[in-house]
Amino acid sequence: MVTTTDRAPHPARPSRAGTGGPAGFSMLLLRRVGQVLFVIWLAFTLSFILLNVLPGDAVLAKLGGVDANRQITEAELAAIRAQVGLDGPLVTQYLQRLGGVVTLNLGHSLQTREPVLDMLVTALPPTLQLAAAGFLLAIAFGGLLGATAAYTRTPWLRTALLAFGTIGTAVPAFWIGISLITLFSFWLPLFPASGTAGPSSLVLPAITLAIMPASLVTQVFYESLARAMSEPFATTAVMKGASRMRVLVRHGIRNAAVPVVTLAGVVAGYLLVGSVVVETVFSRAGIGYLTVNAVRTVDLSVISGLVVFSAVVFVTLNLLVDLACPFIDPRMRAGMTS
Amino acid sequence: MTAARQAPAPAAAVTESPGSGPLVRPRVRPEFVLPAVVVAFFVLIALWPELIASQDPTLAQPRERLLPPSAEHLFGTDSIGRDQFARVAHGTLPSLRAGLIAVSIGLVGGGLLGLVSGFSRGPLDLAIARLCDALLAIPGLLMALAFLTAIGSGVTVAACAIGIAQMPVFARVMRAEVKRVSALPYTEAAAAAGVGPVATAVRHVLPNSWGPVLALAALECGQAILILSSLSYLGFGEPPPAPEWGALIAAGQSYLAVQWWLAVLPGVVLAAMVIAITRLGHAARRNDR
Repeated sequence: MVTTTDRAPHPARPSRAGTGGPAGFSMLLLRRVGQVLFVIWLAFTLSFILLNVLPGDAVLAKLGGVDANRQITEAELAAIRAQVGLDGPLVTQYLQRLGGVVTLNLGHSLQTREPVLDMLVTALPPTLQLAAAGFLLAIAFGGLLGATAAYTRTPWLRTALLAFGTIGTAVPAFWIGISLITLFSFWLPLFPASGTAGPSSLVLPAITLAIMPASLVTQVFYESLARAMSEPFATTAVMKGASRMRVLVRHGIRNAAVPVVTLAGVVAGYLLVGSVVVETVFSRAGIGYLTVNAVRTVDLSVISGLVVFSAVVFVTLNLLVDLACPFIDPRMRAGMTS
Repeated sequence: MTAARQAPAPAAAVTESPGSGPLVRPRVRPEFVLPAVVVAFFVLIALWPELIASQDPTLAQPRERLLPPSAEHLFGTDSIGRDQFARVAHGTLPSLRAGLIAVSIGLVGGGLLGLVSGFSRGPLDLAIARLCDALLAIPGLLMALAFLTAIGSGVTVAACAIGIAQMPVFARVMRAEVKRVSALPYTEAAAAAGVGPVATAVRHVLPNSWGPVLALAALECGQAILILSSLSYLGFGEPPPAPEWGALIAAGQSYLAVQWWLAVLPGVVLAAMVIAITRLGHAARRNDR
């Protein structure tokens, strides 16, 4: 997470909007994009070491469909290596792969011979639907719980709401999914237990996916709201006769937005990975299914494509969040150029 | 390195850092006690599952298949008549062990990265920061799946992968703590008194900076156990006869419509353990402040 911690959070001098100037902003943009590309390259290199250098003969034998129990000959190994593109010096392989990534060619699946990029693009829409629904639910639900916890003056209610923050991160997503299926597919037949057909099939998976991020949002939103509400400007607003609700809505939420937006980048990244489990629970098509299948069939090139894809998504989202923060909180604009 | 050994011993006595004396005892709070007791209970069950589960977790009794929970079978029996409670109890050890392996790798690897990063300035610090960014961009579950694909199945492989994925989190916190403690008067005093950099790091900075790191370790241990159970649920855990929680839940999923307890009860136990570990981490973090 290359986030707000990198820069001074509250510059001492009160800044007017846009002190950074357009030149400062484009410089920042350029530097951050460079950083992002570097990090993606590094992630690619790590995945190359993992998936092209480390795989041993046993993995190759499995790939070639050879019975692992008998002694595999050197000639067979060489044939499999050539077949899956793991032959030749490592440097050549590396440069080939890197060139491929730069030109958006992630190689071909070792199993189906399909281009990995095509497989990703085909699998993406259902996962994006699921992730978008989960994201909205998480923000809405977590935001509501966090705000209620900050607003209420009833200690037990606050404790109960914040307990959700802990429990939500401690309960495995697949178990939530299974419990929801038990409750809302079998006991009360409201939603289908599996499949990708129709909007009603999205309800349970989206809730399952949203629980963990919603509890994170609850925690973070509550903490930043509570902090904002104890600051002098909140006291001033109260003294001027504003109601608690007004102070919360007009002053608290604006000030508490930045940590939540920062978290949103992390959450969106989680949603793509969380979909691996959720799609399996609900037998849905998508990136998660593609991932699990690739691991089962030892499809090294699909997995390496997925790792690069995940890195690109994660790093880009965090870049967007980073760039969005100064627009949400004017106090950050002064820090941009420094 | 030699400077550290030649450092004058009395210097430490004058500028005693708070963590190195036995006088400072962490205050035990009530919020600490309950999770600690629960975690201790799980550790006990992990080591001696027979304490609460007398039945054989692998003994199949086809005539007693799919029984509902009863006094004899607390969690019922599974599809081939094995006692589910015994299977859950015997599944504690693999879960806990794999979580500890993961978090140890994250703690040691990330801690070292953070330590080096915190003490060095310039290119090395920057390089470690970028490495952490790259590692963070590959989530733990995906990292584990990639390792399982490349190296072969096995809980230890998955645990190591999760540990590597957790390293940047530890590195960040460790680095921040080192920076904080390095600026404190007693560290400066130690340096001024001629204590070498390595001795300062080991004797003064490390003891006073690993509180938050250890609190984080508890939180990350809980998360590692969750990811590992997800892997086991997906079918990438130990091979079938082994009683692993994720696999138990996956097996129970086929009987959800009627024998819901098969999938739901092991999940409750798993959640209870992770909540306890997480609460312990939160309590430690608050205690530290």
